Order: sequence, then C-alpha cells, then structure tokens
Amino acid sequence: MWLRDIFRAEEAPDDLHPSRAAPASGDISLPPGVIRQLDHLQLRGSRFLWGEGIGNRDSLRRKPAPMFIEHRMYVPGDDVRFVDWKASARHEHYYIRQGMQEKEITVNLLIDTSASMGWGEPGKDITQRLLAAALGYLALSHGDRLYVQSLTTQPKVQIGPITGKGQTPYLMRFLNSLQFGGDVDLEASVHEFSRKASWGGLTYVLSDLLGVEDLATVLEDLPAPSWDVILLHLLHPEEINPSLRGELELVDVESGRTANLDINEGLVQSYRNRQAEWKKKLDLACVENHAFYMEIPTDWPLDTQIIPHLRSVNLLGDR
Amino acid sequence: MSFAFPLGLLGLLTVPPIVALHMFSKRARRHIISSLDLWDFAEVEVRGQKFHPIPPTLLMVIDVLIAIALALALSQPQIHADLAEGRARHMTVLLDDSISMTATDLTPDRFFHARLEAMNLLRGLGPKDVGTVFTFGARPERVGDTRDTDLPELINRVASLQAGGTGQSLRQALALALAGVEPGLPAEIHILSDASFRDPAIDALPHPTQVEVYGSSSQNAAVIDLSVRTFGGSETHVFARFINFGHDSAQRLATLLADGNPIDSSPVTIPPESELTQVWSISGRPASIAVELVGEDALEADDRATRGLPPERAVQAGLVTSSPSPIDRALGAISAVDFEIISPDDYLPGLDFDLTIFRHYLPEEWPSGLVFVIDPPIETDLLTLSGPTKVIEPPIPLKDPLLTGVDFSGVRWAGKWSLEDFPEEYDVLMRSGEEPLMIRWVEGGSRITLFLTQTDDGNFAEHPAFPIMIANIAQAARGPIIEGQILAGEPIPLPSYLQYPSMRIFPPDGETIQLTRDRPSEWRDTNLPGYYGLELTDPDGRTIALTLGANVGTREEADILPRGWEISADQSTTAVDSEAGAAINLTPWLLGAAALLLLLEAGLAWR
Repeated sequence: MWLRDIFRAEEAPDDLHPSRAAPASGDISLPPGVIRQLDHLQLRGSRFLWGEGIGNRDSLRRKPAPMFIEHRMYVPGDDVRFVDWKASARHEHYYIRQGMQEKEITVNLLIDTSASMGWGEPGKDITQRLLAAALGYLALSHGDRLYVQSLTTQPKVQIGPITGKGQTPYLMRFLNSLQFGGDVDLEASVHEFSRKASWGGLTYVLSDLLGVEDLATVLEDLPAPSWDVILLHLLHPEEINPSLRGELELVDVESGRTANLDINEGLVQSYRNRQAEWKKKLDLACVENHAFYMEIPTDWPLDTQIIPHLRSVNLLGDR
Repeated sequence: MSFAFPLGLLGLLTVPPIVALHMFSKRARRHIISSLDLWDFAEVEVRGQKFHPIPPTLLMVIDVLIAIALALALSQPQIHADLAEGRARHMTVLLDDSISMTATDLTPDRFFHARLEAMNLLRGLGPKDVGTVFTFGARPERVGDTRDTDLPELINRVASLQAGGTGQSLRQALALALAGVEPGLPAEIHILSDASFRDPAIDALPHPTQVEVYGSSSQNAAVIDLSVRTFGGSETHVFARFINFGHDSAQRLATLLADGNPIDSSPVTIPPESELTQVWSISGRPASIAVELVGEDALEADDRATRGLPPERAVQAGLVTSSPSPIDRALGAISAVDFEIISPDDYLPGLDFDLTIFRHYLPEEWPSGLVFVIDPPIETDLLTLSGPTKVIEPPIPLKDPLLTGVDFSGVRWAGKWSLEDFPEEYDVLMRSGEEPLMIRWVEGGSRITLFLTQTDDGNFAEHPAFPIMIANIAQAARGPIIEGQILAGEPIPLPSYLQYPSMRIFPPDGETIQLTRDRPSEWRDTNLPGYYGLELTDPDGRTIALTLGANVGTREEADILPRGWEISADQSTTAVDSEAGAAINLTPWLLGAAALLLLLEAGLAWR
C-alpha cells in the first residue's frame, strides 16, 4: 500500500482532476432573495433586434396601431381604418395614425461546458449556471423566447424555444443536467448555432474563453443588428491571480498536456501582464464586432456583485 | 574500528534505492490547471527540469540514516577504548582448536565463529598494540605474535587454522601467554573456546580475561574406544564402545570396516547419556579396522574410530655369548621372539638373524640385521674400547623407541667403557655427562646398537628396566614400535634415519610427506582424524608399511556441552586494564539509534 503511495505522483486535490465528462459541481437553484431581486429587473438588449409576435418589448417599427405616437401623410394602399378623420378634417390632407407595437425577442444562452469550466474550487460552472439561470429567468419572466445551448465537443444539448415564467423549473433541470468535460471549439460551435438560429437575438455567451484563438471570427458569425452579443467572461480567481509557486508539473485539464515550470513571483507577474493583454484583445474584438465584453470572477456572489454589476453596465434594467 | 561481519556493509547498498524512492515520491508536484495556454508565454529558461534535484526532506534523511545505522549494525563494528586514548596494550588470544570445536550446532561450526572473533580482535589492534595468538588443543601452539610477524600475516595464519586433535591444554597455553606479556603494557586475554571440558580451575589471572563460549548443544554420539585382539592370523575380535551424550536415544547404524571394506552394519540404539558396547568377530587379520556410527549429530569427527594392525611375525634372534643369563630370560618372556643361544665358538659368519645379540664376544665382521652388543670385549677387530671407568654422572636416556618405557630409576650402575674409534655417523641414545653410554650406527646392512655399560656388576641386569630394554630391542627387530592407534593430536614416534633412511607418511588428507635425514623424532601433525600410513624402508631396501588410526572419540572430547566455567582475573588490575583495553561493540548503539529514528519517523508520519 505504502509503495503504491510512493510511486503515485503527488497530485492536486480530487476536485482539480481532469474531467472528461463529469457532472456539474452540484445542483444549483436561485435563492428566493435573488428571484425577488430579478422580478424587478429585465434584460436590456438592442432595440434593433428583430422581434416576432406580441411581447413586452417596444418595437422601433411604426405601423398603424392603437397606441398613437405620430401622424403621417396617407399614401395609397394604407388601411383606411387608421385614417384620423378628425385630424384630416382640419387639414387638406389625409393623415394616418401611427403607433408603437410591442414585441417579443429571442434570448440565447450559449453555455460553455468544456472541462475547464468544471475546474476550480468551487467550480466555475456553479457561477456560470447560476448566472444562466438568472438570465433565463429574466427572459422567461419577461415574455421572451429562450434558447439554451451547450457549447462543447460533447454531444450538444439545448432547450428552446421556451417562453413563460412557468418554464423556469424546466430551465433549472436542464442546467443541472449539464455535463462538463472535453474541450470546446467555440468558433465551430457558435458558427453552427448561428446557422441554425438565423433569427438572431439577445445572445449571452458564458465561457472562460480558454482555447479560443480568434474571438473576432466567433463574433463575425453573430453580426449586429440581428444579434446582440454579450460575452460574459467567467474566470476563476486562481486563474486571475494564481497562487502557485515552486517546481510544478502543470497539467491541462482539457488536453492533458503537461509542462514543468519553476513558478516564482516574477513569472506570476508576467502571467498577470499576459492575461491583461489577452483580456484587452478580447474586449477590442468585442467592440469591433458590436458585442459587449464583461469579465466576471467566479467568486463574485450573484446577488451582491454580479447582478449589481450587470445593472451598472446597463445589461439589466428596471422594469 | 573493526567489523565482525564486514559483509554487513553491503547493507549500505540500500541507500541509493531509498533515495530513488524518495525521488519518485517527491518529484515535481503535479497541479491541474484549467489551461496551459495561459502559461505558454513562459520561456524555456523558466521551465523546470524534467528531473528535479532531490528535495532533502526530513523523512528522506531519516530513512537514509536508518539504513546506514542498520547496515553498520549488521557489520558489527567494534572500537577499542585504547585507540581513542592512544594507549598501547598487549592482547593475547587463546583459541581452542580441539576437535570439539568442529561441532556444527553453530553454522558452519564453532571454530569458524571463534576464528572469526580472533581475526576481528586482531583487526582491532592499534599500531602500538601487541597481539599474540595461541591455540590450545592437544598441545599449546603459538600461532604468531605481532612483535615478530606482520599483523596481516598473523591474521592470515589465524584464518588458515583448522580445528583438530583431542584434549585441551589451556593451562599450558595460559602459562605461555602470561610469560610472553610485553612488560609495561596493559594486557588482556581472550579465551575463545567451546568450554566443553572440565573447568580448568585456573587461578586468578593478573590480567583482565574474557571468555567467549561457542555452542550450546549436547546432542552427540561417538565411538570412544576401539580395541582389536587377534588370534594368530585366523581370527580377529573387534570391541567398540559407543557413547551418547544426548538427552534422547541415539539411533545409529554401527558399521565395521576392515581394510576399508564394510564387513558388517547393524542398527544400534544408544540410550541417552549412556554407553553401549559392540563386539564383532571376523576371520583373518586385516591391516586396518574402522568402526563408524552412521547418523546425524553435532560432531561428526568422533563418529568414526580407526586402528591399524601391525604385521605379526616372530623375530628370529641369535644370542651369541657364553653367559646368556639374564638376556635369555628376557628374550624368553617375549612371545613373538624365537631365539637361539649360540656359543662364540659355534658362531659362524653368515648366520643372519633379525636380531643378533653379542655379549662378551664380537665376530670379525658385523652380521646383517639388527645387532645389539652388550658387555663388549675390550680389544676386537670391530671395536676398540678403553676402561671400564666408573659412571659418575647419572645416565640420561634420550627419546628413542628403544628406550620407550625404560625407567632407569633405582639402577646402580657399575662401570662403563669408552669407545676409542667412533663410527662416522652414529646416534647417541644414552649418555652420562658427555660420555655416550649407548650408541647406534649403521654399517653396511648392519644396524648396530652398542651398550657401553657393564651389566656383570651393578644391578641393571636384575632391574625391571633391563627386560623392557631387551623387549624394545626385539620389537625394533620386528619393526618400529608404533601403536596401531593414537588420539588425534598425539605425536607419532618416528624411527631414526639410520634405522629407516627412507620414510613416507600418508596423512588422511591425501598428502604424501617424504621425511629426509633431518627428520623430527616424532610426527606432531596428527590433528586430522583418520588413517595415517607409514612406509619405512630400511638400509637393505626392505619396506614396511604400517597403518595407524588417529581417533578423536574420547569421553571428554565427545562431550561437547559447554561447561559453565569461568576464569577469574585479579580484581586489582581488572578494573583499570579492562577499561583501557575493552573492545566496545557499537552494534547495540547503532540498533538503538535506528529504533529512535524509526520512532521519530513514525511520529512525523502520524502527525
């Protein structure tokens, strides 16, 4: 027994082991306090998003509608039912009453379920799924159509479209059933999704973006104005500011690659600088492609830090 | 420092595997991270080595120290307080090399361990120390001394020692050891023995003495007696006595061998701590007899007894004298002698006897064979004598088979003649002062013994020594007086060069020893039990082959149970000297250190 222990290399704790298809770190649920908090909020997306059906969002398109906004000159072909006879009587021309039509939009949640998202203590997937649940709840409670799609090389799973607040338990069960493992080809996954979901919509990408070589290529598949992309970059505090020191054999949780590094303060500082440059590049790619980039450390509490932060950057707004 | 078991140092070979195991267990720690891409910027120079230097962890140091301590303990290191203090000493090692030390209750035998201990004691000597080694088996033997021999040479001599021989000579060896102690040096005596003999009851010694006892078993059966009685050449009776010192009955197969051929084999049961006699009767008269007890016990050497039977032939003797008494009476008492009394007037040259005795007469020339001249005439062609004169100084007999058992006590000597013309070569067998009283020489085919003392007067002719001497002379005519069996370690008396110019000895180990002119008077190298063959060739070229058996089975030697005897030392010197010269065995200390380190490691592991 002790001999086996000798020959076994010293390893990281079990929760840091490579995970090829591990279940999520544990079931999540939205606390009642968070739900009460969310009930007063709504998702804010581009007003230019294409909407369909009757929803709770204002449409920019003017058409004859009961809710009056302005008049315009009558042109042949207009429905005479919307002629404002009283206004036309005071002028020499016929005028049509125009109003704003409320619409529903599509909210897409793209969830990175690669192995790296299950890494950390607690795993990044906890914060990721809580955030997805909150965003999904907001979409459902606001009458939007919700699509949820996992991004991974594993068999992809999705739900949607679902609408209505009553679908919230279904959403929670889906999120809790996600398996985290393998690596992810974000470009291919997003490209495939964009071809399938040609309707566009308010799209949240919840990922650590590790292994993404060219974010611009990803975002080019989600062009504005049909797509309003919000990139929520989830990073573990240990990824942001690693505490590793000494002679270490680092193992990539997704690929299994190893590297022997003698990690000291100087190297960690270089790591931080490198990471800052990387985030800056991600932000720049988002700006260039009309997407919104936001870094979220996974140790942030949902109710006290993440939601207020989303409000502060106008991703969430009051109802 | 010396090591009692240097092979134990091979245990140090466990250190590299221990370090390797720690290297395996303490190699670079693995750490799982979300992505190596974040670290791809790291340059080659900051990347760690595939094989890292071994971290000198406390556990590894403890493990290595434990391995070193156990390996050293296995090699049984010893240091001497002298060396630390820079004081010289004289260490005397008395090593028991009797046959009981070959008992195999220790592996491979007791003597191996005693010899090893002696070598280790010698290796522990400092440059100023003196070391002396004696063996005290059948006889005390001085193996060597560092005052006249290099220490490595002395150790080699000890390494080549073999146990054999019966009996013990501890008192004599101690006397030699005490006599040889270097003056001014503190002395110590180490006695390495199985103590299987009675307490030597040695008085308190003036030096610290340490007795190392080897062995513990008493399970031994032996042949302690072998007697043979022949009836002419037609029948031989063999009597053997077996003894069992064990606490259980010994089941053995008693085998009789004649001339090396098995004659009879029968199972015997020797009761515990008892003796058993076995008798065989065989036809014919073999040259050698052996009795073996076939079976396993601690001492194999005493399971066999051998005996040689000298050829039986009546000596033809001629007594040429006009006054044969008392010689005729002495010859008549010897059964194996046919003698004829011849008057000097009737004596004719050419009458050849095995033994010709001349009294008051000498012929013109010596006859062949053994010639004994007593009361010679003064003036003859063969001898020129003067005298007689009075024997003033008491005669001193020299060691010779002719005088074996002859006790001249109480002899009132008459006168003696003096030989005017001595032969070129002769042996003096007895002398008075510087004057020879009995000489022997060889002339042609004649072996002549001349007795120069008068027997007409005095009481020698009536003294018991006279017939014994005549019997020895008759025996010499038949052949050398050599017993058919000896105890291993006992010397074999050798006939002189003049009697047998050519002589060969065939010990049991298969060697052939050719004795030359400068031969010893007795052959002492008989520690090895078994048959000793002797081939004697007289000046006429006649060859006599004899066989004698060297046996180890004695009641005392076969009882191999160590006794609880002790040798005390003079307390006034023990206290000081033992402290100065004691060898400190480091093994218990090293084992204790290893145990403490193990406890420390266990504590660390528990924590």
